[in-house]
Order: sequence, then structure tokens, then C-alpha cells
Amino acid sequence: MSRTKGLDIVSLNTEVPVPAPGERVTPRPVLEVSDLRVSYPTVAGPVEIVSGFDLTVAKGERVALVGESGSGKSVTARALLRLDHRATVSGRILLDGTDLLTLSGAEMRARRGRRIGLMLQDPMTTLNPVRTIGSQVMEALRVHGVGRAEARRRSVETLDMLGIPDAARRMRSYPHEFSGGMRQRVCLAMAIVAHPDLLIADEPTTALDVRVQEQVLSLIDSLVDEIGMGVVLITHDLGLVAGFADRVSVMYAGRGVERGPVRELYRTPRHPYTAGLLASVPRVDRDGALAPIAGSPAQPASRPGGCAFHPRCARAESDCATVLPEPRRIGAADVACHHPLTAAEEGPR
Amino acid sequence: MTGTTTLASVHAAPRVRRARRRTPWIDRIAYGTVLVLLLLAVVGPLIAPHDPYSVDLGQALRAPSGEHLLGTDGLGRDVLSRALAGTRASILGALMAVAGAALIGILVASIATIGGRWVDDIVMRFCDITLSLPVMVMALGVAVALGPSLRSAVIAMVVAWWPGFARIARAEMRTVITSPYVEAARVLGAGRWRLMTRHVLPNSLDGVYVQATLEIGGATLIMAGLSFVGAGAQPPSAEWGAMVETGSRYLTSAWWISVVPGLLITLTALAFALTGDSLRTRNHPDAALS
Amino acid sequence: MSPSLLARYLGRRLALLVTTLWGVVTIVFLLIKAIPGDEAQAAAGVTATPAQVEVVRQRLGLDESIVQQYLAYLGRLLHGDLGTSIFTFQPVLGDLQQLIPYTIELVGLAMVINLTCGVPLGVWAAARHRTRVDNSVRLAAIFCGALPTFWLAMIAQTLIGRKLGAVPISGVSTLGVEVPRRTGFVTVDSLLAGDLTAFSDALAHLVLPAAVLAIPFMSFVIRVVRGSMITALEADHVTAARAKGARERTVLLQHGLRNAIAPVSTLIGLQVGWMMGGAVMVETVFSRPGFGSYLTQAVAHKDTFAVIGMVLVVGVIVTFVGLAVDLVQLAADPRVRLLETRRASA
Repeated sequence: MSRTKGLDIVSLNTEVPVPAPGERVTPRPVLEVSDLRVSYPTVAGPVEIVSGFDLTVAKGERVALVGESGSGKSVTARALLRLDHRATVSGRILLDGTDLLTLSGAEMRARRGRRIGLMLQDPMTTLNPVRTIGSQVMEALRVHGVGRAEARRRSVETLDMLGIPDAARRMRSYPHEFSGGMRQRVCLAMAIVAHPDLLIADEPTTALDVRVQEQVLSLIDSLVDEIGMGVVLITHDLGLVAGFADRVSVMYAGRGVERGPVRELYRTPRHPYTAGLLASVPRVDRDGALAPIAGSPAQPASRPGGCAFHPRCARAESDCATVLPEPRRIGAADVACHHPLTAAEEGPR
Repeated sequence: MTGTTTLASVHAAPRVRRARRRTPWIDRIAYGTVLVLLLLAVVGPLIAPHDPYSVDLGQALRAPSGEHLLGTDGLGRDVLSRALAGTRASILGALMAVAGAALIGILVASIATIGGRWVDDIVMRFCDITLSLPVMVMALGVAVALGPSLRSAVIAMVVAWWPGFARIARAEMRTVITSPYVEAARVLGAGRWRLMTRHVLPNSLDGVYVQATLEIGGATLIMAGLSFVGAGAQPPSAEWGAMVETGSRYLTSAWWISVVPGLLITLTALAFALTGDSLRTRNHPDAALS
Repeated sequence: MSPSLLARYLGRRLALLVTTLWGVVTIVFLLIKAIPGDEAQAAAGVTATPAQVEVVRQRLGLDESIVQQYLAYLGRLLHGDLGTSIFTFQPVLGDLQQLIPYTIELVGLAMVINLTCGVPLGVWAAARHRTRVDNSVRLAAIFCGALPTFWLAMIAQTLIGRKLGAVPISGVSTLGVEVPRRTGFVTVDSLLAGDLTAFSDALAHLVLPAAVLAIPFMSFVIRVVRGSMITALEADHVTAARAKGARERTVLLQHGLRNAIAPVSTLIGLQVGWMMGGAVMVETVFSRPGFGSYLTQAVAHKDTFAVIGMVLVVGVIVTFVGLAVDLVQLAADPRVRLLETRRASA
């Protein structure tokens, strides 16, 4: 399924990120995505939602995937697990060196849940209202051939670990008998009960209130240390990312525009879009008014030529509208921009 | 800017476009058939090649030929002419039954909606009870009470069917009357009557129209069924269900007598069902047939 | 649901059952009163002499006020008196007790055929939503719903019964293979008698009418299963199940069909009543004794009390089926349980 067409940035991607001083040294990657392209059929022909996206996650690493709604984050998450049969996915998705796009349906299914766990946004709808919590958590083990008693034991153990009080008894409860935060813990339990190497969490806290958000994030955080899995946190909320992620990848209109270590990116954003996102997030360490990004996000079906962000960009020049910027290394970050901000400029604020 | 379910929006877009796309050929055939049937219901008896009631035993049980395109029945009556004449009884009968049931249903739903909780409870409970009696059985009861005739069959179906329409209309009226714009009109001092006629009624009848279209097909089937068991149109009147019954004795020797009206009933029910389904799909692309 | 709440729910539900039955009875009473002409004459039959009509009028209390008549009618019903048939000269209730098993047998087998064909087709269409399979099943469902039962019965009887000779064309059993009547259900009785020949004979007589009766009803089952499955399959818990690595089969059954039990069981409950209506036509065509053919005869002979009695009996059966459906939903769907718990504790 690998395509040669498009950007040749594989070499850039496979490079293990240079660890900044003080950050933990990351071991070999568990997930390596390169030139991921996802398109969906429409009446007007296929529309590419994700067009050439790269991502590397090491074992025990927390990576945030950030972007506005419509940027292709959730489509990416589902494409990584090959969940939507209507989508055409190309590129390479290496999980421990195996390209998921070359696997048969059965081989892929054997990896879902067991090697990659997925956590969804809304705990109200992610749990089946007519089945018990227990049966749904156990299902994640049972479908991979774990016996009933063993599955029950491990499910109770996991729910217990995630702070569900009286877990053994609560296995018989139904989703409506749980609060939103507790439900999201159950969803997390479903995703990690089989101890996957990688957890993809698609906006896992958006539907929750702020206090519960922190609890759920810190649970995920502790799991990284406990079972040593890598995490991809998909979110639109840069405020959430700062305290959680090791590295950040910013997505705009189906392409990665900037990625790098979290501190680097917050201190000196290089891409005008990243800078704009940061300027629109309230921060305690800086004064000044919030500055939302002008204009509205590009739609996949009518993505502007060149750099997709150029119609909204204050720094855009004529080449931005015509030439697609290739990612290049600036400091510790990879930036896809013709006219990146320099460290001195400190972003448009 | 917080919504994030990209996937959903991606799929929503083509779906909307698909619904707006040109009508599928099968739906267009259904629309066309409905129009032709309605036209026949008006002019059918006029364009019949023979007198549908003239008995000629010498011509009995003739197979389809140039003289009698669809053959003759046991009394030598022209089947084509009787089928054409029957269009009026069968289709107009079904239309009247559905229209009557829908009207009463809307009226009762309006009363339940503006009447307050108690009225609503009692009326809806009554609807439920009536609905628990099968239409066919209920209609037989009414038909025998009023004496079997086409008119009784129509009345029987109105009696048996209005609660179904009342339920649908009332559900929609509930939604509309609790919506912000009706609330706004209420705040501005609009009275109950004005609220009902100006705001609620015009905005809550789509479902009833669609349901009515769907039910015309079913009504044709039940009307014909009532005639078939002898509780509807009586001999010698030309009505499809009664014609099927008349022909049942000759099914092995003169199949056309029963098969022609039977096919017409099927065609009518099918055309109206497809049309109703197509209308519903247009209203709610995802609720098709559910 | 805790035992005390369950008890309260059952109490409420039984009260509703009684109200519904009372409602059915009242509708039926109003139906009798709506009959134009002399009710006593109708009850006594067209051949009765004026003196006989007077006797009937007194016996039925028709000379009293309408309220008294209504109360007397309720009283007679409580004693199981549905009136006397002017055609068979037997009490209507007795006639029905004889005939109802045949109809239940027919409706029962039709329901089995209906579900074993309709449910898988609906699931299949939902699983292949927006494909050619889905469209074909959808159109087939609409087509099934457009077939007039009585006509289909005639055609099937002629083609499959007469021309092919595959099954008997009428009745419930072949002359000479009768078994002693115990329950009234021919299939059950033949099994009780240990007579397999009689059993297969009864089944052969039953299968074509039941299939014909089932076809229009399959149309609804396919549509409802398909519709509620499509809704269920769009939910996030389906994505979550796939992400766990569940097989498509598991996803369809555990996360799709499992969630469609409530709407489907509601439909089945309604269909039991509708099928008894359909049985009227099927039994007439296949000359099967039963509720339907009795009703048709009663209509033909203007046998008012027989017709009214049957409307009442069907209403009662449908009401009890409704209760059964509610209990099934209570057991199968925690959302229903939640709703009922809230109501019961309110």
C-alpha cells in the first residue's frame, strides 16, 4: 500500500528525536507512521482528509497530537487501527517494525486492543447501554482468547487499579449507574486491560469537567510508567498538553505543521499556526489578551494550495500559496513553513 | 472551536449531498405509477372498453384476446373494464379512509396537546387501547355492525386507524410546542388557539403526510381484504378485492380473473409504499425505513 | 431492580392491564350500541318470531337504561358469557375455545418463520448499509409488504398445493390420520399421542398457510431490525468494540442486535394481533377451521355476538401479549429498567 508519490520525508521521520537536556532518553519507537494518507469516498470523488502525516512514538513516551476540529486528528486515530473500512489508507504504519497496512483482517484484529488500545471522547456513548460494565471490559480480553475466569480477574484488577471502588461488585452494573468520570475510567480500563504497547486516546477528557479531566489524565500518566506503554493523546486543548506530553505534533488540514519536544514548542513556537494556537490559550505565566486565529479552518475538500494555512497567516508571502513547505529541522523541532518565526520573535504577541 | 468528531462531519457531508442528489430511478417510477393510478381512479370507468357490469354468459371465461384484452369472468364481464372501473372504488376508498383517519388523528392530537396533562393522558391511553385491536378484526366488527358495504369498510378503517395518526401528530406537536420559538411566541402573549394554528400545526404535519402516503398502500390492501372476506364492497360492484374473490373459483381454469386485480392491488400498494418511503428518506436521510 | 420496586412495577402494570381490558370491553360495547336497528332482533336472529325477540330483549335487559345495560354486560362478561351465536346456536365462548388453538398454531408458526427469516435479513442489510445488498433487501421488504395476503394465499395454494402437489391445499389434517383431541393443538396432540405420521401431516397442512401469513409481516421485521441496527451500529460503542479486536460477528450481534431487542419486541407484540387479523383471510382461503374462518362466517351470517365476542377475545390476547413484551424488555434492557424504576419510585 506504500506510495512513492508525495513528500519524501521518511528519512527525517525515522530519525530518533534528539533528547533535550533533562528529558528522559527515549528507547526505540513502538509506532512509526510515515506519509500517512487517508481519503474517504464522496459523491464528488475521494477527498483526502489526512495527506502525508508522520508520527513517531517510543515506548513509555507521551505524544500529543494537537489541532483544531476538522484537522484530521480523529481520522488519523481510526486509520492507525484501520477501523473504518470506507477509508482508503496508504503510507506506512509500523507497529514494532510490522507495517499494519500489509496485515490481513484477522492479523489486524489480533493487534487491536491487545497491541494498540483506543479510548474515545464520549464515555456516554462509548459504553453500550444495554450491557454490563464487566462484560464490556472483559470483552477486550475474551476476544483475544482469554478464558472467562481469567478475564474477570484481570478486569476487576484493572478497574480496581483505575480507582473504581468495589470493582468486583460494580462489574455487574450498567453504564447509566456510573458518573461521567467513572465511566471514562471504565473506557480507559477497556482500552488498556489487555496491556497494549500503545494507547491512542482521542480527546479522552473533552466531555468531562475540569477536575475530572485532571484525574483521568493523571491516571493515563501513571499507566505509562506502570505498564510502559506509549501514548498518543489527541486533543484540541494545548493547555492540557503542557503538563502531560513529552512531545507535541501539531496538525493542520491533514498535515503535520510542527513537531518537537513540548518545552521547545511552548517556549519558541516556529510555525505561525502553532504560535497562533498558543496565543489563543489562556496562560497563567503571561499577561495580555487572548488572540484567536483569524479566519476559519481549511476544509479537506477545498484545501488551499501550497501551505494550507496561508489564507489565515500574517506572515504569508507569494510562495506560501504555491509551494508546499517541506518539514525541516529547526533547533529540536521539525517545522513545515517557508517563513518560520525565529526564536527572537517569540511569536506574534 | 471545540467540536472534534472529525469523522462524523466527514461522513455527514457526503450524506447530505447524496440525499439532495437526483431522485433514484425506482422512486421516479413509483411517483409516476402513483400519478397514473390517481388519474385512472378519476377517468378509469370512462375509458373502459366495455360496460363493466354487462353480463353475457355466452362470453363467459374467455381467455385474453383482441376482443377482451384481459379476458372475461364467469359472467362474461370484461376483466379489463372491471379492473379499470375498480380503480375508483379501491384507490379512492383507500384515500378517503386515510384522509379521514389523518384528519381525526390531527384533531385529537391537537386537543391532547393544548388540553393539558389529564386530557393528554386519557386521550393517548384511549388511542393505545384502540391500537391494540388489529385493524382487520376491528374493521370486520364495524363492517358487520353497519352492514357490509364499501362505505362501511371506509368508516371501519377510519375508526380503526385514526389513533395511529393521532400518536404521530401528537409526538411531533410535543416537540414543536416545547421548542424555543413557540416558547417565544407564548412569552409574547399568543393565545392557545393562535399558538396551535400559527405555530404548532404548520410545523408538525410533515410526519403525518409521510405516514399517510405510506398508509395508502396498506389501506388498499385492507380494503381489498375486507371486500375479499365479504365485509366490504358487495357483488356485483367492480372492486379489486371482490374481483379476486369472484375469480378464486376459476383460478386453475381462468387465472386472469383473479390475477389481474391481485397484481393491481400489489402494484398500488407497492407504488404508494415506495413513494412514502422516498418522501421519508428525503425528510430524514438516515431514518429510511426504520 | 430491587424486589420491592419490581413488585411496585408489576402492580402498576397489572393495573394498566385491567384498565386496558376495561377499555377494550367498553369500545366493544359501544360498537354493539352503534349497530343500527333492533339489537334484540339481531341477537335472536332474522328468523325469530316477535315473541322470541321479546324473550331475548328481556333476557339481555335491552329494555333497561343504557347504564344498566352496560353494567349487566360487564357482569355477563365476568361470567364468561359472550352471547350465543345465531349460526351455530352455541355459546360464542365455547365455539372460540374449540377454534382458537388452530389459529394460535397458525400464528405461532407464522411468527417463527417471520422471525427466522426477517431478523437475519434485517441484520444483513444493516451490516451492509448503503450497499447493493442493503438496497435489495430494502426493496424486497417493501415488496413483501405490498402483497395482498388473501391473493398471495390463493396463488400459493394453486401453484404449490394444486399444481406441484407439494403440500395439502386445505384443512388441518388428512382424513383418517386424526389423533385424539387433548390440547386442541393438532401438532401438540399428535406428539402427545406419539403419532409422528400425524405430526408431519399436521405440519404439512400448516406450513404453507403459515409461510403466506408470515410474508407481509417479514416486511416490518426487516425494516425495524435494519433501522434500529443501523442506529446502534453508528454508536461509539461499536467503534470501541472493534478497537478491542472484536470480530464483526460479535460486533453485529452483541453491540447491534442486542441493542435492537426493545424496538423489535415491541413490534412482535403488535404483530401478534395483526397476524390474527391476517389469519382471517388465510384461514378462509385454506379452509382451515379457526378464529378467522369463524369470523368470516359470522360476518356473512350477520352473527353480531360472534363477531363482537371475537373482537373482544383478540383484544384480550393482544393485551396479555403486550404485558409479556413489557416483561421481556424489562429483563433485556437496563434502560427500560431505569425508566420503570424511576416511575415506580416516583
